[in-house]
Amino acid sequence: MPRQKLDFQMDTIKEDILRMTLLAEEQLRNAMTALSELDSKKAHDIIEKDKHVNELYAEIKERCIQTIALQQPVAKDLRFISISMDVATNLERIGDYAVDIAKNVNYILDESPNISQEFNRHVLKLVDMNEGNKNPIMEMGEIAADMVNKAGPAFIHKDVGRIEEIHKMEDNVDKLFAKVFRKLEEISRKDAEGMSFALNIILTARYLERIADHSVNIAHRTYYAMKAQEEFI
Amino acid sequence: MDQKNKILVKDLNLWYGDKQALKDNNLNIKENRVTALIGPSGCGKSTFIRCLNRMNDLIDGVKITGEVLLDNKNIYDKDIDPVALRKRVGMVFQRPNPFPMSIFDNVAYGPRIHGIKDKTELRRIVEESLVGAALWGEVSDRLNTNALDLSGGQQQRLCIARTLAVKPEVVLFDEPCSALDPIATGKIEDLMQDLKKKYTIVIVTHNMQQAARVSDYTGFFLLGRLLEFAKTRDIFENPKKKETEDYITGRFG
Repeated sequence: MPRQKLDFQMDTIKEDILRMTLLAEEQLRNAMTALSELDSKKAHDIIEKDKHVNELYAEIKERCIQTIALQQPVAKDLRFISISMDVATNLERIGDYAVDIAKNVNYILDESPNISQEFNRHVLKLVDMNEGNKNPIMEMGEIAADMVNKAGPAFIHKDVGRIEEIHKMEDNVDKLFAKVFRKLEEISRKDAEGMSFALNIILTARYLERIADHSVNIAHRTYYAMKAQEEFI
Repeated sequence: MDQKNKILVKDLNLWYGDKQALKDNNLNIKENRVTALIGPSGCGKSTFIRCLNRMNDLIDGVKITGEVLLDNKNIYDKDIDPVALRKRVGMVFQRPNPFPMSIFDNVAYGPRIHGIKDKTELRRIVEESLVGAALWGEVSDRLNTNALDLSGGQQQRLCIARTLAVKPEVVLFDEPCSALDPIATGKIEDLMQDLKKKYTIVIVTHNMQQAARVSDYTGFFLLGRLLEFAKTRDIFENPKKKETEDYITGRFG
């Protein structure tokens, strides 16, 4: 069969992207658990584990460059490889945001050793605004993690169904972000004590919103890999 | 604005005896652009390029139908003199084929045949052609040495200079670099970018990377048919036909 070496390299890139997707998703879910439990040990583990995400990123990038140099792919093969580099960058950034969320947990804990009660008090205020009694920050985290979970496979399997789902999910994340922002603004205006907490949570919400954006980028690039239309680069 | 069409090929068919080698081919070749023709061995691309200056006339048993319009005049019309045509549409071949004579005489050969006798004029044409073929700097001090003493890459550029000496409008390249090393190949490829400012270039090549590097338009031939023709960027980034994609990505056959 012709182009065995090229096919082997592309299969390896696919496997690595799926592994990196799982790792980035796991980091994000653990970061949200660390936040909800205010668990500094978990937060520390996430920061520590980020090096694995970075290693996978470097491996994928290196393999892509090597494949371009040695196999000279064109057309759909070249699009797949160049987009793989972008997707790896998106996943690496998602991993970084998970670390940022974990670092936020540490900031919250550092600023007030008796944070649990204060935290719960403010979290309860947030919960109030949702009819389903679901913490909106946690819900954002859930949706963002699900988006990451769909983005990598959507790219690898060129799955249009998953791409459409990702777009819909982004709308929900954006709406939740707007709500969280307004609510925290309100809290910090009324309650000077809660200001620092509110800022940390706003940052977390912002990181989650960015994670959703990176997942959408992956979905867009999947379209480019499939259809070569420049508006999707 | 779209570049003017230099050559228009209409419904071109060619038979070697009973065997049909080209089937219903239509193609526009743009002026001052490089057009590359690619495809697997035996697909008809060399046969096609040889139709553009009637080189196939020299082969027994060849039958051609259709039209090849050079500046809107069919080159297969009865009033066309093939020798005059080949002056307008020159050709560079796969293997450098300098004549066993001096560098100067190689380049002056064509102009002399076309009646130029004046030595000053000949010297001017030789220099201009060698400059045009990016060889002047390497041979200007030894124009009287035998052309066969030049390296392969220099010989090929000499053949290009020889083609340019008769002031063609179109230059056809049939696998011009397949016998050359990468450095000589690079020089010829760079040269094509200069040449296209003055001439219309058509190149047949097996080297797809070369087609991608040098050409503005690319045509993919398969089994005697021009299967896909588009801007080179489109062919190599996003070909429309599956056969083209299979061929350029190396998954053909």
